[in-house]
Amino acid sequence: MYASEAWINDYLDRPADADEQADLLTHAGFPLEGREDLPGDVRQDFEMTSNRGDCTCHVGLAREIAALSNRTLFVPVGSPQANGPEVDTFASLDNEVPQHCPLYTGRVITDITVGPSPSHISERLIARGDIPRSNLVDATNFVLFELGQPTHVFDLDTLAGNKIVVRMARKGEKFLPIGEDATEIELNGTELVIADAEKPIALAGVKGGALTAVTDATKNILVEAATFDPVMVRHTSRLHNISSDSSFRFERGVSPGQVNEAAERLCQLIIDSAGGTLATGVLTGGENLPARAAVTMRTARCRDLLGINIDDGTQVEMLEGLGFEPSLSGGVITATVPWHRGDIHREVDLIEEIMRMHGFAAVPVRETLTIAPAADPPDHRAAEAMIAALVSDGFIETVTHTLISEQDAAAFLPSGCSSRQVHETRAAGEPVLRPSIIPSLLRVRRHNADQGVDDLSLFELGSTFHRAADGTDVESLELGLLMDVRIASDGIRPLRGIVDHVARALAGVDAAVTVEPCADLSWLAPAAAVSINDVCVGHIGRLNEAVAPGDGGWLAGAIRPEAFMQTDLPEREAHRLPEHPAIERDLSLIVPESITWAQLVAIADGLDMPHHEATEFVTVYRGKGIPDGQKSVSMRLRFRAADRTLTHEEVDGPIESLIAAFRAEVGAEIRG
Amino acid sequence: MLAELDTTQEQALAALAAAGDDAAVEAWRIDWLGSKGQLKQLMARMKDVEPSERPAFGERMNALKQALEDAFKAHKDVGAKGPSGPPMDVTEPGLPAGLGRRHIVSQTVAEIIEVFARMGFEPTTGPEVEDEWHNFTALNVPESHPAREAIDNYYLEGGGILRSQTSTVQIRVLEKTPPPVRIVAAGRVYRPDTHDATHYSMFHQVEGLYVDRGVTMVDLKSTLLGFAHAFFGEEVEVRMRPSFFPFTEPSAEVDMKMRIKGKWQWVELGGCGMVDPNVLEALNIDAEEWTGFAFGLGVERVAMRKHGIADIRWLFENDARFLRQF
Repeated sequence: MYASEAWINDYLDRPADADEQADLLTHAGFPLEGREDLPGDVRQDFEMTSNRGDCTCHVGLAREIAALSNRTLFVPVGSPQANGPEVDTFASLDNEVPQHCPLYTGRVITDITVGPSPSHISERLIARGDIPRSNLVDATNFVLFELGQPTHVFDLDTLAGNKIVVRMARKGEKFLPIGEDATEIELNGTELVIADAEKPIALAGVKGGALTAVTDATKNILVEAATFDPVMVRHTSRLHNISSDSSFRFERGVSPGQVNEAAERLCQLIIDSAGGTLATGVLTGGENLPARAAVTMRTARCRDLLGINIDDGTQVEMLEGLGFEPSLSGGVITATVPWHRGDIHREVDLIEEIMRMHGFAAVPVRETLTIAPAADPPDHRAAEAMIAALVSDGFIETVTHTLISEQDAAAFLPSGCSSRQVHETRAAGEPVLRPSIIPSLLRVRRHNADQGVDDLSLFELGSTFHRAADGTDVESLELGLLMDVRIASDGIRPLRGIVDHVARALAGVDAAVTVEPCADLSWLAPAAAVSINDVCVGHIGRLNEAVAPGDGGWLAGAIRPEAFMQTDLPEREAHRLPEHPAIERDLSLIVPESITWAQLVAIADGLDMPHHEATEFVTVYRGKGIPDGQKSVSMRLRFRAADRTLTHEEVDGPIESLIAAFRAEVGAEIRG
Repeated sequence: MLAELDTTQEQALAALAAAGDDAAVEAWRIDWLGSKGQLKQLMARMKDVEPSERPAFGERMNALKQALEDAFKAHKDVGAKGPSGPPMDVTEPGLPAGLGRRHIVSQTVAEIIEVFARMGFEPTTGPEVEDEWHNFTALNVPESHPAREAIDNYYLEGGGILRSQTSTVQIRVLEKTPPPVRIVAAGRVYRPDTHDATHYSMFHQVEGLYVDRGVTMVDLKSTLLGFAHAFFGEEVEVRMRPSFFPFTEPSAEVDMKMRIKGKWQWVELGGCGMVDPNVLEALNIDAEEWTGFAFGLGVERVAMRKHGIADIRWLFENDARFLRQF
């Protein structure tokens, strides 16, 4: 809201300079957003809140300043003399929809002379940043920014049938708004309009029509002052993408109780500058004026909620300064709400007024706070532990948008499920709530590649979304992992190591991770299913050509950790370290490619060799000396007795039987 | 006899000093300290010593043994520190340690949560897809309120909405947990917006809620000031000014005075207020018995101000060179 320093001071007994105005209004809840020094005036821009339409005018701002600084507010009153014939000899009014237009008033002034505004009007408008047009248009703008009441002036001689009808638009009706660049719009029937006997002449509360607008030749006018349903005004404004100072004001609510005062002020200003004769009486259509609301507040409740000791008398004075006409009885203040304060309905609304007048700066601060120590919940602990593990493993965390394109999402929807989408109009081509983090990571990876940044490991922990086959909407946490391949012969192992680390963060150091081959997914080939303690938590593998063509086979994983985020980590009991040395034996086997490491370990474990402690992976070799379709797998077997040092002879037997088993079960050939 | 031991010590130490390489030092150790070495032989002569002199002899023998062992150890340590391996240029740059990075938004969230956790707020979360009850109705936003406009929200096909504020978590928590509650929740929120340097259609908020008997505005101001001092430093200035939110009353904006490009400016931190009685009553909580405060802080704004990040889009491009700066 642009305001002029001098204009505000027009309504105060003692002027306040611009700095003081800005300080006081910031204190009241209207912070200064901009300031421009003009010759003899200062234009200031104050931020408005949606509940305080009454302050989008100079009297409203002056009222706040007066209440906060012990000044007296003068509200200008117009009392134009009505010397003309009865108003209904000039025009008639029909308000068909009082539920949307609680009060419509029309006044007629005849024989006016259109010309420039007097300087005390035009200077004020210029200081606010408006361009003066004519004494009629300027008067309506002046009243809008003085009292906060939007009004409109029609050229009476252009109204078909000399009639004003407040009604809903008819589907297909045409309307040409005022404005140099305005084009005709078609109404769809949901708009509230002001019409004459034939056609809409204004979008109620939003914009007047060009065909009935005043011109330099206008002689007779109909002055509209009304109030409209804020929801209806907003609807019409949004529907046709037309906003105005009037719609801004009406959307914040205008009380029927303030309409007539503003209309009289406007007629006075017009007659003062344009002459003319005011017809006797007012065309009025709408509901009966409601009574002013009375709201009570317990002074003790106010002190209790704020935690500040403001005595009863001070509370009464504060409300008085704001025009609430308070009366105190038995610790209860009854306040009569002024028309312009349509936001005050409840006790707590008045408590907020006391808070504003007292000021937040004067709220005392406690040096110490009373706290009950809060536990770190398992889900928070687990998320932090996963992030810490991945960062220590060299992964960079990304934060990417939840909305992605249908194309990017397609490959990642679980089979039989559908995607969740926002309404297309707001989506800018990316309407899908991502079913997986992976497409976002891919986008980040490619962006980095375009910038020449390579060799990356990325992760993101975030929500993913889909609608399941049975119609259930699912929102679940996913840990997405994406890794460059550094040494191709390492296969999946770099990512498997990360998964093992994450599993320990989730389920403790004894977490048992299994990774088993599974059918290829639409985005992973080969793909493997990952389980922690026999609970399947997701998949890892190599991104397939369909989603990541020509990238050198990035490794990716999607882990759903929530099953392990609901409980604390299992208690950990320390193991004693072995007291006796182990004997280790290395074996290299040539086996067909189809034989997996897990199969070899299972054979070793299945033999139940005495003192066998572990089977460790050493390396896999493919190439020179190894036939096509085969590989050489090297492993290290460790044997240890708890109570003594083993002899080599004790290990020889089991190793022989193991070699025999490898030969028999998987056709292994023993190397070297 | 005792004098002889003194001479022996001198001879032994001289021999050690003369030992040129590791093999010679090892030979010296075997000769003097070994199981059949000279010290053992000297000890065997104890029986030749007059009984009255034996304690003195024993004491001297122990001192000798200690001296030789210390000398041997010292000699070995010096040897270990000597040059070995190829030449080394200590001014060469370090190899990357291979550490990853937490995203700056995630770091900021964690830091804010940690400060509030120290003040007794329990970290929690809530869903990002919400129904209108949690996103609006329960938060005292009536059907006709402009905040519900389709143009300002991501409504979903088939129902639901991407939450426009983390205040939804207040409702989720109070539905499940009777007061007193003191929680802090961070997360993503969504509002359609054209992306530019200061606007993005997704951002993060940290929501705080404290409901108990006798919670007052003084508690709210003290908590927020405590946070600002812990997070930004003791010298930081904080102000509250009246504002309007449907779900709090009285409501306030929290500003912090920061030096930006050499000029002191007030920067918005977020909104706060006393929980509106309508919010409590919608959850069947007696607003006469229980009062509370709530606040919501903008995470990106905090991170951008703290680190001089000029464009919010940099946060979500995820260029590794940018993310590695933090």
